[in-house]
Amino acid sequence: MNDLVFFWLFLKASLFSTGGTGNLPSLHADLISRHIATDRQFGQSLIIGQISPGPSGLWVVSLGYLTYGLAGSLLALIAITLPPLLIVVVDRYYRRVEDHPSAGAFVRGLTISVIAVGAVVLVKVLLGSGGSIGSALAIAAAAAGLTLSRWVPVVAIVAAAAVAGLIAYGV
Amino acid sequence: MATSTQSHKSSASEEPTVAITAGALFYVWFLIGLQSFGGGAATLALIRQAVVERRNWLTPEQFSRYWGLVQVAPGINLFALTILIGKRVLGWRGVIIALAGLLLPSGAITVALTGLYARYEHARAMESVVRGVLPAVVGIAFVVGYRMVKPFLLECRREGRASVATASLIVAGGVATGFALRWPVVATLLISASLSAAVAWVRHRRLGAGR
Repeated sequence: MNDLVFFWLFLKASLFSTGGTGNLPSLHADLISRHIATDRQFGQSLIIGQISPGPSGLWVVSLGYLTYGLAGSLLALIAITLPPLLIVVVDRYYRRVEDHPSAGAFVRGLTISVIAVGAVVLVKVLLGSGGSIGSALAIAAAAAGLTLSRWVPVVAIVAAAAVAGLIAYGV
Repeated sequence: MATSTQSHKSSASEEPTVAITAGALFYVWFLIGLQSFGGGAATLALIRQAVVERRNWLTPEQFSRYWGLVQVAPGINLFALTILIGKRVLGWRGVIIALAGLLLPSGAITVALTGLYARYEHARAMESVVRGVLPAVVGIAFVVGYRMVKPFLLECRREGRASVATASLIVAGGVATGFALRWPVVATLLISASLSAAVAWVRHRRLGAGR
């Protein structure tokens, strides 16, 4: 595995995605099958992405670092930054493209697809988190419920989960 | 230290632009980058507050137009928005400055945190924390995904049977792809997106010019 392959896998995933974790499904399939990353490393980088500052897409920078060192983190960062640059071309040459009925539908189909595949990937990552599956599902459900309710900020949910883990599994 | 410059006019129909310093642009995006914890909606609000409300670099209409436009951008929408605003304000130089402000400091912190984590990865306490936090992050991600997809699904339901059927097919295909280890994910994404676009085109033709 060399820099170019690594970069291409990250670029490809980001090119056909929307949102900060839209590249998760493609990256997961590619990196796991090539044994570049493990489910565990995906989980770890998603956690770090959640707690560190910056837009949500930076979790791949963490994954790049875990799997390929500093070079990996830089390649990942460039890979997620390049695709959005195409918006300049779109803005220049396609007036009101966003109003075209198919453009919106294209994005809609893409988003639904990403989330459907992503849901399966997230479950796989969840099951690889270590510890008992029952506890993992319970924590996931509680966190989801609290997030949906909007009563508790995400940072607090993550902190509470960290404490729960320490209590359940010991120090 | 910072140089002042007139930004480029990207087309004759756009308004004359204002002089903004490179330093100010970097500083604004630097702050946005450091404060972006809550995810997309919070970051969007930060950008709007900084760029539209506080500094008038964009009018509310221009901002809305950009936000609508970046929905069809490949990759992360907020990056595309950053790029468009940076370009408007200081041309290609502005693009680099805004992206650098947004990404380099927070990217560096992310790498540092990862390094720190890797150092203590095998400590029992760290392992316990991960076992608690990872399921929580997955739960949060599910909610984020749900919030992202819900308006689209409601839109499909409003549009009628064809759209609902298409959406159901896409969901089924996506789930199947999640389990199929050899099938390229990108193929599923592209097929789903193209199918959705095709159905919309047919629907548009059938309904005539007015949607």
